[in-house]
Amino acid sequence: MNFHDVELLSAYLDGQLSPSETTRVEARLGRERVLQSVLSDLRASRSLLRALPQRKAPHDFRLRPQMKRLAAPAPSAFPALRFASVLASLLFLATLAVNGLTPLATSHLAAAPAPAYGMGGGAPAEAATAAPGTGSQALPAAPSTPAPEQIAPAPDLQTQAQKTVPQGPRAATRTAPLIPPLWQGILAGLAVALGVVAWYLRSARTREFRQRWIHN
Amino acid sequence: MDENALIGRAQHGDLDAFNQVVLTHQDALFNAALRILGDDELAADATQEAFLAAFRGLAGFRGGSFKAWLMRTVTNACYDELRRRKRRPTAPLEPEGREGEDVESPMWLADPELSPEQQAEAQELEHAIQHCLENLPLEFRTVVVMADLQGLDYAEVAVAVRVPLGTIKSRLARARLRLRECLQDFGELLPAAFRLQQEPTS
Repeated sequence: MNFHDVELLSAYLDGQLSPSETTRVEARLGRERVLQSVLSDLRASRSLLRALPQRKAPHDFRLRPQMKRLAAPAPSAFPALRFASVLASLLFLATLAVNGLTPLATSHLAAAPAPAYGMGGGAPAEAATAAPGTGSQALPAAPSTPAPEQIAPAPDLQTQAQKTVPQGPRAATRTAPLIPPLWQGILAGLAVALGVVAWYLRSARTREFRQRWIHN
Repeated sequence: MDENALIGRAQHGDLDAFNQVVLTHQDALFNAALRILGDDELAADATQEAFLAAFRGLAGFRGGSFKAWLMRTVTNACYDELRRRKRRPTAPLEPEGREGEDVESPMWLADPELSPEQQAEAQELEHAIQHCLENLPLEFRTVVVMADLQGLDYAEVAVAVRVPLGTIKSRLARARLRLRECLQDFGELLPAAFRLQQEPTS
């Protein structure tokens, strides 16, 4: 006997079990006295609650036009319009976020490969600056390492590479937004238009309600 | 006129149509609020608030059981009332008579067909049940009030308290189990037909 059994018995009492579950519970009830006892207790407490007298309402709860907090029900289209307007607004904000974050992402991408371009020219340049020391101290065969003058053009290559990068395809991705402004405009327009229609319908209903029930 | 037609008219702002629906359900809503809150005045406030909110939010009713939908509004009103009471705790209010003195039971409760003895027994029983209900955690109390006192089926209770069906089953079983334990302490007060068995359930 565990809580799951109590749950089953409670649902059995309310006729909320499937036919197969009902058969299983009834089979167990036939041979387990504890289950019978719990079922009888559950039934008794349910009967007590059901026997509790229903009080009459202490006064009339009908709504009166004088009630300060009385407001007209919104038109049936209002919830759908409001939901659509909020959804369009959220999508519009999402497009702003996507377009705002995309240049950051591309600039990271653009910044990351720079060392790769630089490795072609930068690393030898560093090697070139280090070379004279190491070459002269550790390696007697220093003449075999290229002379600084021979590697010197590397910085030029690096600056050339850096100059050419912005003119490549990356420059285009950095400036063109991922989501076209036309779509953003449509979403912003929808959000505003749906919101205005919802507000107008609600105001018209409120006006009509006041004229009929409050001012008359 | 049938209820669906009245609701349809009320959704278009017809206050008279809504008030006819109010008359049908006001006793049920008041009783649900009373059993959840355990206080007549608070229950009356919650019931009025629930009907105002229901009228305002009628556009949100998309068919199904209107009683279950109304029970959701009264449940929300009760939760709001309990939150307010938690912020500003006050002594529980006893119903008052014409002269302002506290009375055991409100006038509208007295059933002229019952003898004074029977009335006293009925009152004791009601107090015992209310005491046990108030000892239940709020979420259990709400479910048992909706299912056993208001007679909603599980699907309707799920609508009224906005929790899945499985949770309703589990909460209802736990609530009944706890009520059974609590009511056993009032064994002698209970009518013989309802006296609970004292057997262990291990």
